[in-house]
Amino acid sequence: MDILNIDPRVLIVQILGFLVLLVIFRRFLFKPIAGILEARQNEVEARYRDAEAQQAAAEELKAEYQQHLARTDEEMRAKITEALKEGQAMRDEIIADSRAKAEDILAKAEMEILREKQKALVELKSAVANLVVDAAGKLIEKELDDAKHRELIGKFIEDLTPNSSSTDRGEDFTSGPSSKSRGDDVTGES
Amino acid sequence: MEHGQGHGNGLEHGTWLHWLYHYKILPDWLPEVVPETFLVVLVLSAIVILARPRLRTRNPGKLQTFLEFCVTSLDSFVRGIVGEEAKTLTPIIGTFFIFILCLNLLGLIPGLTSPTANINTTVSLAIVAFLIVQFYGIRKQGLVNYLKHFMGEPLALAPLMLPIHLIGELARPLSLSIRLFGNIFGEDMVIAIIILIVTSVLGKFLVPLQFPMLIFAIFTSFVQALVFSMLVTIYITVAISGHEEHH
Repeated sequence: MDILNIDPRVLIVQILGFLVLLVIFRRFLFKPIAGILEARQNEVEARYRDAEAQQAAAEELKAEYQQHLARTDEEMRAKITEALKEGQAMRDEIIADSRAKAEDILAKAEMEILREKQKALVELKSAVANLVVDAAGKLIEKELDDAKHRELIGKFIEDLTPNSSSTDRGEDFTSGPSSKSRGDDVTGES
Repeated sequence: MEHGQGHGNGLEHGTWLHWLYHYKILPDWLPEVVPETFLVVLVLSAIVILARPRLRTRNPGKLQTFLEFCVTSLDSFVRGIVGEEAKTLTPIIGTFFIFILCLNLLGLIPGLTSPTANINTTVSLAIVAFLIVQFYGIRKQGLVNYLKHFMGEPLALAPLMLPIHLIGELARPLSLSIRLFGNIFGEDMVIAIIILIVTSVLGKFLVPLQFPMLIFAIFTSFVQALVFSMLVTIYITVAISGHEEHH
């Protein structure tokens, strides 16, 4: 021991020094660092698990939304097609209705025109009768009672009517006694 | 740079810690490697104790990153040799490695010496290693089984095998301590001799010719700390596995 300069007291002190450091390192370095590394690893693993779970949930949601979207799209297309059909039917109905109404209006207008025409003809007949009465009175200077006058004029006009509007549709409302019978009447009267 | 050689008589103290002897704070029989060793213990303890409250799981600082790197590297190193036992062995082997490395490197600081260049330091480390190996061997195999393996197989050869095994077992701390001491002491001696030659030949013109040797000393310091730690780990592995040592 003396040759090697080994001193047991120094050995004990050095061993104590090492043991002190061992205890301190164990308590303040290796255990805390190992704990931190383990906690970090657990945290990372937990995060990975969470991320995987979230990804799976997201995938599921995506698939669900895609299905939903496809269904919605299909429904939308069906509704559009249905709406188009409805629109087409409505259009056809409106057109048919409008056409019917237009025809109705046209028919009514034609009837109104005819009625007005008849009315105008009646008024014209009355006016012409008055004129003729006055004119005939002056020409024959013969007194006739008013009723006789009118009768004569009426027959006169009726005789005139086929001649003046032979191409007219006025034949409808002037139809009555034939020209022969009217001529007979006139001659008879005269 | 002074290099301690074990001041058993305590008459010569040449480092920056000389004042501890001058003011009679330390007894003269205590070599300067002891306060140097405790300086290392103090500095390392202060670093880890001060760093402890700052350790956090997220956003580690530079010091924590460095400490984590050291711990994980040592753990991988130990785990590679002993496997699952690394959980309990890493603090011991890690402390051996860091402590020896720092003691080796201390001699590179001008005005200080390497405590591992003193046989007392290396022997004390080897004794601790030896005791740890025996402790783990007995704990794992049981006292009877552990002692039985010194007898060897077959049992009839026990009178022959027992002394061989005992000598082999006792040779381990001897080889550990002398290897470390010899390497670090030799390395420090080379540096000291280069400095002496430079100063004696060039006189006042100080040229740092020892610089390449200092760089090499960093490497050997690391290697010696690694060799010591690795051998202790292997010894423990052999002890807990119950197999014969082949190295």
